[in-house]
Amino acid sequence: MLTFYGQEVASRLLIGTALYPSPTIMQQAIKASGAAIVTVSLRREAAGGKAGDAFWSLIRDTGARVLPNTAGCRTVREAVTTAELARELFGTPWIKLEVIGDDETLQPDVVGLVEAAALLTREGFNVFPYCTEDLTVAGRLIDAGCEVVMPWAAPIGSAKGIVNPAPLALLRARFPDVPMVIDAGLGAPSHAAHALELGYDAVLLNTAIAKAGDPVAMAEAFRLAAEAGRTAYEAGLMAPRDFASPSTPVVGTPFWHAATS
Amino acid sequence: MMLTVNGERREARSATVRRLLGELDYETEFVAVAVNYTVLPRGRWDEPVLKDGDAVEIVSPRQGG
Repeated sequence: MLTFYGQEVASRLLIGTALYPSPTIMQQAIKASGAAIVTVSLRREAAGGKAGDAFWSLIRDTGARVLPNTAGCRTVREAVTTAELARELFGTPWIKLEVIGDDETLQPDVVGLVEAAALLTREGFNVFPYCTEDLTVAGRLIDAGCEVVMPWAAPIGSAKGIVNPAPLALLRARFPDVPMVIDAGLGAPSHAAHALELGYDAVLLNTAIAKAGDPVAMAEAFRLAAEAGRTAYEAGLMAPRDFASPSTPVVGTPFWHAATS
Repeated sequence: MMLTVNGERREARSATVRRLLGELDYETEFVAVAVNYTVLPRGRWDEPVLKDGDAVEIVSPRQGG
């Protein structure tokens, strides 16, 4: 069984709660995805507003465990304070730590990320760092106390799938016992299957489901793909090779050697 | 005194977070509050911590990826 910080995780698909056409479709998509963990965020409340109250009621109705994020934070100080606000608001030590280093690609600022992860771990947080596929950065995050690592597949919302499979495969092989989640950039169920086939423990996505023509059906498709990918990984995938190898037996082929007589 | 509340300059009289939320018509059940980048837990909302020039952030749950 997959565990994050000692908690058993029933599904290898984690999904976000943003960008759905309606709250009802969001709830139906979460159900169809089978996700046991959903990501949430926090934003400034308006005076007289009830936006947070309404949203939070919907999420609690789903029964899913929440993983709050620090989306939009660009400095260590912003990320740490946002994590502390999230712990106060959602009552969980879990935090998806984002420290953004570039506005166009939303690429993580891995230097700030490692620093913030160390600070938050010392404060008792269970940090889920959103990082790149860089092996050394992942090692530093693990050294800082992260028991889960979440490298990107591609920039957030880009739908490109796994852009750099070789370094991601290396990262997986280098830290075989650390739960790792491919987070961000997945656009199609086949991308999720690819991540699980590479040996990643789970995938986390939002836009590809929320912005689909039919988000509920797409959530179901991603659930099936994640299950297929994991089952394939456990079954043992064959290694690729350059030349053909016939699958039908050669011995007994009709007219075999007949051309030489 | 003048406070910066969620990025906007506001005139306020309240010295405690709980009174400030009431004064500015914020709901209190589903919000968390930070003063000058330090989270003020709900258990400390009755302490008279606010002073002129403070930056107050009042946040609530929202959709996220």
